[in-house]
Amino acid sequence: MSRILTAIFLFASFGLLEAQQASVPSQPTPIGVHPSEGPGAAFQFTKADTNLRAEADAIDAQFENRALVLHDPGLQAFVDTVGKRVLGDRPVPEKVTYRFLVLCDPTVNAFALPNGSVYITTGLLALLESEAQLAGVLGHETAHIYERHPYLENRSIRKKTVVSEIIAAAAAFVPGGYAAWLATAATANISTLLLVESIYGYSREMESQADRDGLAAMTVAGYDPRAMAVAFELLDQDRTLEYEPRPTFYHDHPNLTKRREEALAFADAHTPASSRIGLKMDYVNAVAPAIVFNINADIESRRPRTTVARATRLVDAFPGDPQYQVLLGDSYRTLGAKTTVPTPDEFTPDGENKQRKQVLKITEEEEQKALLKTPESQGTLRENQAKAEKAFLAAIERNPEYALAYRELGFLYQDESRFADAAINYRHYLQLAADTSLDRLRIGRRLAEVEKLQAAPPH
Amino acid sequence: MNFRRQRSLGFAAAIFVCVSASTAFPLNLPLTASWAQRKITSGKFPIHSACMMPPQASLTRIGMKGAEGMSKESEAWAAALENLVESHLKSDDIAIGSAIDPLSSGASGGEIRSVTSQIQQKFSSVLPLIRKKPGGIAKSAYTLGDQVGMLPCSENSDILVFVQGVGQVVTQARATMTLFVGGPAEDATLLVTIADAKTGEVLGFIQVYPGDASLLDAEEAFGQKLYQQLADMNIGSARKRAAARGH
Repeated sequence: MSRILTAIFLFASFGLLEAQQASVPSQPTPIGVHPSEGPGAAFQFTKADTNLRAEADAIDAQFENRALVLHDPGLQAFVDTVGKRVLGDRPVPEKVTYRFLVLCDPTVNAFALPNGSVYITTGLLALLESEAQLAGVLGHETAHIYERHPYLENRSIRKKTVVSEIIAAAAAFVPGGYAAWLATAATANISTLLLVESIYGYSREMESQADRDGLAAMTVAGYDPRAMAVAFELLDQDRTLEYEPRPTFYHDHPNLTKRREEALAFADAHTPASSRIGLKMDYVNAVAPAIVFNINADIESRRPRTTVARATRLVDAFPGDPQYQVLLGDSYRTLGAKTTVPTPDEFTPDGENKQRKQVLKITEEEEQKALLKTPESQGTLRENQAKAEKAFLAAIERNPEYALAYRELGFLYQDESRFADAAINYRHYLQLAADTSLDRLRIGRRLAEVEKLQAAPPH
Repeated sequence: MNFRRQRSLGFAAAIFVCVSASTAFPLNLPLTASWAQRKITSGKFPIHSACMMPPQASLTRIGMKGAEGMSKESEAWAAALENLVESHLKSDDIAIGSAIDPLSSGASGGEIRSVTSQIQQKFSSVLPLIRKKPGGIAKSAYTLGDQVGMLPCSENSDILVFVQGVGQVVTQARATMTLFVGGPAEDATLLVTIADAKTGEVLGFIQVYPGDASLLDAEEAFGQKLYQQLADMNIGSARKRAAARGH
């Protein structure tokens, strides 16, 4: 018995000792137009910090190796320009090299690594509406780096030894942890430790501090801080579009309404006479590659309402571009029997429970099949198919040589059992598509299939 | 009085043992198992070639002061797990190709990466359902869609293979502490999913939990169990043995 007590005592002592070592005081940033410069030179690196920095470098390399960083020269130049403006002439903290990178990930998120890498997901870029909003997000993330939050949070996590939560975050492999898994599905490539920070976020105090510092940084850079309040509103509206089993930290950490109110209060006190927001059209133009990637990723991730919303935005901005018309058509085709926005029933507790079951227990095909049992949903399917057809035909009208429009129209007609029409469009696609197109074989198989069905006697 | 004291001590010791055991070992004991469609197990869908999707693995180290990421080690482990699966498939004369190999398609690396990324995304949305109801595989409930046919390796492959691993390793000090007062233990899972390379239909799924061996030695940790599961699915030596017997 005494041995057991000794062991318990030892365990407790380790915890206390570590808590003492890890407690580094963090000064709150006063509200003002000048962003904080963080603990700066006063920050003392521990062995755990050095390990975390090495881990951050390894994560950067991993993202690159797995082709998760979107390298589009125009988009990169835009993000770099906004990032550098927000950084201004503040001194660069020790052991930090700033890099602004776009991560191919449909979840709405942004995060900063302790080595200075700031990642903004295609999901968040696709949601934002202006350059000033992007400046606010980058200001928030760079504030985490200035304040050394990744290091401090890592020390805190280690102190609490939330091992079980870390493993739950990687719950793709933990029996029973499906809700957590779904939230992390899109970020399955991200290190589990980083996952904890990006899902659970930093502490409330750190997030509030980064909000204040980010607002100050964007204001000093000449952006209107009201844009950040609008960004919080967009995040709040967007979360109602699809059922999310677990919110990401931008949604709930701390409460978005409170963050919006704080941003507005800051803006009332500090907005300079002339400040920049940026035109919505210019922003969509700059981030279009991220939106396009994201629409395709959302289609594969069972987020059809989000795809329709994003594709509509692209088409509204550039109605003459056949690529965007095809994306809109594809989004409506994927939406199937679902409505473009949630019905009031979906917001009731029963409705939410039903959605949770749909997302976690049945496949997309089973969900559509279940929806089609009601006449309303059958009507919705017909409407969405008509909208998809209209978008594909609009793309063909704008550019009759655009092969992808014929392919997608073929898919739609095959769904509708219009096999003859499908065959015509598949043939068109095969005539127009480049010889090196990766899709020739698949469409060849589909063509053979619809020709066979076309020839078969009707039942 | 003495008896009462002994009884209380015994009761306290029993509670301590129960609590320690429940924290040291997961309550829902994982089972190594596999599920496959009948056409695989019956041999009606012969597998001569496989296309390997990029492996994914994540390791976490847990020490006395908590957890640390192991990104570099995770990459090496992913490669080791992929090699392990490949070697078992090769032992059955299954030709191996890579999903990111452009072969003679003439497609750029960027195009192939884009297709691979879309397929991985779709797989990520289907995997939780497969894990929830693996029995659905036999009913052809899961598919990745015929977009898998866009991979250059699809043309000459029968199956696509997804290899994933997640694990936690514990430091020696943490392991000793776990022995006394409970806590995290070394643990890992290897998942292998097999899909039709032309239609994207999920044909088989294997989950393997290691024995007592070190996780970092993939062959030692998973080799024998994986071999058995593949054999149960009629992939691997069991098929060869059956063929040799003239069945």
